[in-house]
Amino acid sequence: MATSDKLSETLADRPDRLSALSHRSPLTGDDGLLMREATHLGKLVLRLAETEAETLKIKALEGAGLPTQPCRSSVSHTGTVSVLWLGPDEWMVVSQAGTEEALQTRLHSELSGRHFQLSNVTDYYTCIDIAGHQNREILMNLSTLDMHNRTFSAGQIKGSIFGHANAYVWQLHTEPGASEIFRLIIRSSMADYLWCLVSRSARLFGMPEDTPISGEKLVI
Amino acid sequence: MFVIDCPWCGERDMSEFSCGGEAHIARPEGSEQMNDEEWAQFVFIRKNSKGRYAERWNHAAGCRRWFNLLRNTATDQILAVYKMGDAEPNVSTEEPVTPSGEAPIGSGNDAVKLMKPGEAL
Repeated sequence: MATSDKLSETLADRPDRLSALSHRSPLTGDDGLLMREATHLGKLVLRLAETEAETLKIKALEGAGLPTQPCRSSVSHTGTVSVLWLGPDEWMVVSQAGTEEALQTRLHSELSGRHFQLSNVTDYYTCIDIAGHQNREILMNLSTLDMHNRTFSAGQIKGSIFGHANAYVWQLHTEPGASEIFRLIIRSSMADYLWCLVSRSARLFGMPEDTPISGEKLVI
Repeated sequence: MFVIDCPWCGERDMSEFSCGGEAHIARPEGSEQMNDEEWAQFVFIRKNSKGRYAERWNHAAGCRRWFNLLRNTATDQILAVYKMGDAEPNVSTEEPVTPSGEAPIGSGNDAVKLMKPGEAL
């Protein structure tokens, strides 16, 4: 289920809410190459004992179980909620923009009585989507991760270092035959750095130069 | 640089990890009665051996979990990776010939390398 097209739609409802990369506009190149910010996605970090996660069924996640296999993610029946493995006892629940507070309340009531921690990190992180062919090469330039499709397939999420920035890279669940989309999950304060780094790397593969909305210079 | 096999994430570059020093150092019992020398032993004094060495590592950029790693410090050969709380596995490695000598494998520093009898340069 492609979650990518359901982004950013609610931004029009909240014109006062600026995302970390609101001064950067999406970039498009040849052959479907696309780079844009996925704004205001709901992000919750859930910590729970590893042993509980295996058997736990959480209704609020709409069929997306907590993945216990490292570096994997799961997606709900509707495709609107994804659960990403961040550590053996740590997950990130990614949902559509604006839904995170209701989801947090539902998760809280459903998990009550257990030993857990649930934090809303929606504005602490932002996401950069990279689509189009050669998006693996763009990322290969920036990190030591093995980006080959033999070791990095749909649904996988891995934390690594991109340039000087710590970030997670997640390959979205896409329908068979659809083009691959990689989503970088980056702390908001480092988002502009990573945007500039990725756009610079993408220029090697035919992406046009970034022209910031209000004339900001590229950081690097 | 070397590749570390994280117990959860698998093989990743060393730059994603940070080293937490020697492993298996338990906080002493009855610390309220310890004198300065005993405290110094616990806080500062490490084996710092050349050759086989058990260390704690943290996968800082990935899953952010701690684990233990058994490494040959002379060659950077990783002998074992095991989880926190597990006992040190019994793995043998090629030790340096002398305390100041380099191990016969893996080291590019031939200037200080001591040869074993019959070993070619």
